[in-house]
Amino acid sequence: MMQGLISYATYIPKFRLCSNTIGWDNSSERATGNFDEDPITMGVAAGKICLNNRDTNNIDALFFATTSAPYQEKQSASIISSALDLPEETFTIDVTGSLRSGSSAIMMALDSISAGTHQNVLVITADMRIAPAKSSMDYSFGDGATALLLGKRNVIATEISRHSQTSSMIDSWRGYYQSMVNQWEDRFIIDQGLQATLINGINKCLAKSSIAPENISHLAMSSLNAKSNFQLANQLKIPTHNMNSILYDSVGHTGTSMAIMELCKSLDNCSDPDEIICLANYGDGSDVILFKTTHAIQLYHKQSINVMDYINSKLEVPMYEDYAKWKNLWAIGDVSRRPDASPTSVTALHREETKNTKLHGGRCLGCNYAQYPIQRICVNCKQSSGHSVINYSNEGSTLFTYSMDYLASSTDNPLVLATINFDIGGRMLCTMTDRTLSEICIDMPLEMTFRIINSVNGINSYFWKATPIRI
Amino acid sequence: MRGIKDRVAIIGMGCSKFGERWDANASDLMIEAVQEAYMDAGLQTDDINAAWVGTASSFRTAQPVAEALKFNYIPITRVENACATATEAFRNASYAVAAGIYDIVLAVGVEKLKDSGYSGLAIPEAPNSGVTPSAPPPSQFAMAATRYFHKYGISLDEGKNTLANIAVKNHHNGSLNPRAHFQKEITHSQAINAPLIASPLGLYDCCGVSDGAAAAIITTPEIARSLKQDYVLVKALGLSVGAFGMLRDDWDFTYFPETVKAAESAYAEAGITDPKKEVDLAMVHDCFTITELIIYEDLGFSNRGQGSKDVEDGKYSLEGSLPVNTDGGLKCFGHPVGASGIRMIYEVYKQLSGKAERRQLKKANIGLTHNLGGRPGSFTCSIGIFGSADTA
Repeated sequence: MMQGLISYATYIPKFRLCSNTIGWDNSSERATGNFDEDPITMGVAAGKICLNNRDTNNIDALFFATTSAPYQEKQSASIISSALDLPEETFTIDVTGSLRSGSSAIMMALDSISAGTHQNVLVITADMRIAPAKSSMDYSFGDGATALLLGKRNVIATEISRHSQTSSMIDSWRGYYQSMVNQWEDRFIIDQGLQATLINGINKCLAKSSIAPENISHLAMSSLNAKSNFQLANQLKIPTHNMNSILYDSVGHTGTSMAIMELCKSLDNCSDPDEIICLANYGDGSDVILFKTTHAIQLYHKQSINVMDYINSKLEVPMYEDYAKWKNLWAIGDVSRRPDASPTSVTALHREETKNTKLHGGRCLGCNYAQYPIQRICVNCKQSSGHSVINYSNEGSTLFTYSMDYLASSTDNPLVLATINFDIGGRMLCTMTDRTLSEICIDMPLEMTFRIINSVNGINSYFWKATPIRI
Repeated sequence: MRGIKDRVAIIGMGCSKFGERWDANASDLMIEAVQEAYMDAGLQTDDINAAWVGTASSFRTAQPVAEALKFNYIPITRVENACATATEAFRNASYAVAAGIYDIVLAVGVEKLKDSGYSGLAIPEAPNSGVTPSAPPPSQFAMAATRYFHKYGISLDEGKNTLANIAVKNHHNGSLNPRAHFQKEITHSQAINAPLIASPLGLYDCCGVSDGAAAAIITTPEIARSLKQDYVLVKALGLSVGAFGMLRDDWDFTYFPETVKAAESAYAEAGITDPKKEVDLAMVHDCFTITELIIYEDLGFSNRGQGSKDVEDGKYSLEGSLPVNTDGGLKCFGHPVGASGIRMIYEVYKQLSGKAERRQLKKANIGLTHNLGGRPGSFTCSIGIFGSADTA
């Protein structure tokens, strides 16, 4: 079997900066992560959708591509791997520094599978890029993540050709001490970047595989914007009837994830085998991969969530001020003068990994009672009979009771505290995120989402929150 | 089991003014309460054989007590049991006397909260993973209110109406108490329309965060009789600690098992079979109005689901058949965490000995204190039952 794609997913955060957002002053619509999201949490969300309750034990590598990792020193992939409950032996790596990191990670993953080093590789991309307020980048950047499961079994699309080339040109960049992205003049980027490396790369890739441009049914490309995507396609004589600008119009340029989101969207629209998809990614050069769909694509769609589902599931950010708070661009005064959060004990964080990051609970082997977190002595039968592990992060729940605290938090006001009962048994106290206050009621169905709970001294404490079932 | 009934007596009590005591540190507050207790008992520092001090966070050891009160190298123990800390100090002190180890002991509870610069409850945490959901007490207890309303089909307006009735009652009682943190009456509509703290709880559903101290001198009934007529007897000290509400998915927030269990054991110890009739008054842990509502039912004062109706009927007012929180409760007397349990005993002691001034009840022979530490699902509940000297 040829190596290729087994599963894919896009995660688009729920909130949108849009024309109804007071202070946004722009007609564009952009997806933005909530205050408790970052590339790691978005990556976990995409990974969860992609894995879709698959057995994680046969995944042996995780490549995480981002340019906006929360840590300068400390791997993000290892945290994602833990939250996704991947085996300890999983090879993890962050691929970073370029908007091309995602496609490069796919290439390395395919090579690794082809070489027999790894059987099943998860490639996750996520970016949450910050730009100066109300700059053209601010109006065009969006947040989002993708996940691809690559391997040789049950592939829905196989790799048929690829080409990469590199360029040292500086077009967009973020220096070591800079929090915001800078971009050079777009006309320069179009002439010296897109034309020189992206057009060239696609042409060379097509030549390698002897596939004519008109035989490409889907062009999954990341360039500057939708307009330049269409111009490039026309120039290349690649049919544009399957192309649209929905991601640029409704989500924004998602950086490392952009081309791969286009790939996911293309796959959503592939219903037949032998369709050719061209993944073309730009950044410090270009990566181009040609995929061909297999018969497995038909069965696959019956169980997958589409990119459009995430685009259509949204909440409006009320005010640009909220966005500024979420991204720490606006120092927030605390009316209640709440004491500073205590520093995180990484010792405790490490010891509690299965409880906090993996959200493991247990079912007593003696009396079958389900409980979170794992108890050495069963709360029901009071015996130490051992337990089977329940991964509660995959489990559905309902809201048993809740409150809305108007003083507990300045970024998430009111803070919704929830006691949830899992459908398979077990209870948890947590906060609720991505919620609409008026829709909160007892017995509402919920799902779990991995989020930042606390951030002190550069250490992010990640944990799970409940959220209304999104799709 | 012999139990504690009639085996120890209170011969002196003191209570500082509660409130924002910018003028006083924890030692000043203790001295204020303990000197009143000495005066009341007619005793002095050197008469005390041993002492127990309860404080949740004002200090970590017993040395500050020795230093403040100038004890002469006597045994002193610091205890801590969340918001039930003071009753725990009182309980341990009582048991030491009942065991015959000491003749006269002191139990003192103290808390200095208002140095934190924060209007809420600032309790330092041990180093931790930082993932525990931010859940201050109002949001924890508000979850009980949400579920209570749901269970009994009470609309939000009806529920807030009941809670406002409780707040108005406790503010009225507090207005009659010169030592209370808040001594102002409030109207029903003030309570209903107050800013939300943790929905459905508003500002007047939440107790005060206060500084204060309270003290009790405990001895044997024999010694008590030799010193004064109007001592008060300890009838029962029930304690229950639970932690299973969040580990089990079948507990429903509308009752607190720790209160039920502590009450069961206290009633049995005191020989009370019908609390509705046999208890004359109660000081209960109204950290929030919803807590007081649930406590009525947990203590057997109201039937399940009937708390709202009994409140409306005025059962728990000063003129009612079972006055609750005659001193204003945590709501108005204030809640210096480590002092509150003994403050409750202080009011019962005053009522049983006929010294409650403008709040004095006509019939006050058996009084109950209910002191609750923790959060719904994980509580320490300490219940005391006390009788006037003529109930022996």
